[in-house]
Amino acid sequence: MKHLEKVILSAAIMGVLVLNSCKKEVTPTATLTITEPVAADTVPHGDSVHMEGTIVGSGELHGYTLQLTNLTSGQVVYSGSTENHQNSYAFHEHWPNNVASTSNMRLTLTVNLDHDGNTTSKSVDFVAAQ
Amino acid sequence: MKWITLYGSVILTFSSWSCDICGGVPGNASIGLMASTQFHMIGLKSTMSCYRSYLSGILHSREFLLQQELTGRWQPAPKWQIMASIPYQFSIQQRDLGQDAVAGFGDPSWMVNRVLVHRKDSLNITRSFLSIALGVKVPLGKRAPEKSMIRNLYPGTGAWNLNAVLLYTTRLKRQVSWQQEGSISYKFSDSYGFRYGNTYSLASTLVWNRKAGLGRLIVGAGLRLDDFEASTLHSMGMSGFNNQGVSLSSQCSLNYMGYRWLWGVNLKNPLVQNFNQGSMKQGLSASLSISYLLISQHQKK
Repeated sequence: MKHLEKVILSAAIMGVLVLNSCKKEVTPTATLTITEPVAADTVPHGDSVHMEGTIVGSGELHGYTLQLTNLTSGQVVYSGSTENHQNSYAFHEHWPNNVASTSNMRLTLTVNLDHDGNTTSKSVDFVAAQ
Repeated sequence: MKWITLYGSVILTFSSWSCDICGGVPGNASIGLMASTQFHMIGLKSTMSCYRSYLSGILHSREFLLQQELTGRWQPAPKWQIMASIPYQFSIQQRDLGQDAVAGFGDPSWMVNRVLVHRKDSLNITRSFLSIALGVKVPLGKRAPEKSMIRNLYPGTGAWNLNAVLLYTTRLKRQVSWQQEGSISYKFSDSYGFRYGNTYSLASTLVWNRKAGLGRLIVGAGLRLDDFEASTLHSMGMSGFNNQGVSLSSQCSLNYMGYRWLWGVNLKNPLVQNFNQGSMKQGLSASLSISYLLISQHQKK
């Protein structure tokens, strides 16, 4: 009888281990909001571009990157990133509009959903005036 | 040591930091636990404050302010005190994507305190005490540029403040007194037209004191209510966050007055606060102070 109990207990432990090892971590989703700049907006020369928004995940996120690109010149004029693991983020950064000529700009927000390379992103295009 | 039998005496602990993170409290005057000592004093005070800022309810940044103050107090006559403070501040804002730091001298402050009523019993121990203080904060400190996005981190506001403090202390028991304080800070605009809103404060503190060794231990605990009016630009209301809010805080202090030195620890912890619609929250604020006591001429007499 004791032998039977041992077999059942071992089977149960094995079952738990197998089930746990098979459970795949679900990749969270994220809602990206860029409050500023507003799409198609024109930022006067000398003013600061406000880069503001939030990221809300369904689970733990693995960081994000904010990048501002001058599409006219092809240059990345601002880039910032964090690898902090959080369920949500809020950002508010500034970039002074000092373009030499009126340029089309793109702000891109990319969120790392996991460490397997899964990301989600959102972009806003606007104009930096000279 | 006759001076040690003084029931209570006042030390001005006004601060002059520029911080719209907390509603723009510069020059908010506060008279501390002790009223009317017979000493001139010169001292140093270190204060550490921390804040958290939120966007849409999500933590956006943390701010830390470390302020060093050189404080002085001159007692020209038994019922008159003149107090001054020169602050130096280091502040930093930490965000996910970067940080900003600002260091420099803040706006110096002066204040004149007049004892209006000082009732004593037959043992020459204070029964009640009423004083009024008037002061000014002068915009000589480091200030933010016109379009700065981190105005709150700068140690100076670039504007004058007028401060008034009314203090009343009454003895409840032999070693316990109750101190009530009301203060107003009227704020002017800076040269860009920006103006922090006026600040109104009420504080109620129970003070317990007893002889300890060669000196005297003075402990206070109480509540403080601060009301911050909205900031304006060219006398117009500002859209979005305007530094308006109310804060109710608990505060306590521990002071030891020795023969020549006065040591102090102060803690302030907000209980309820709603600066900028709840987007900025102050955490625990702590300060350490040490003052050297000089016997004034009329005390020597």
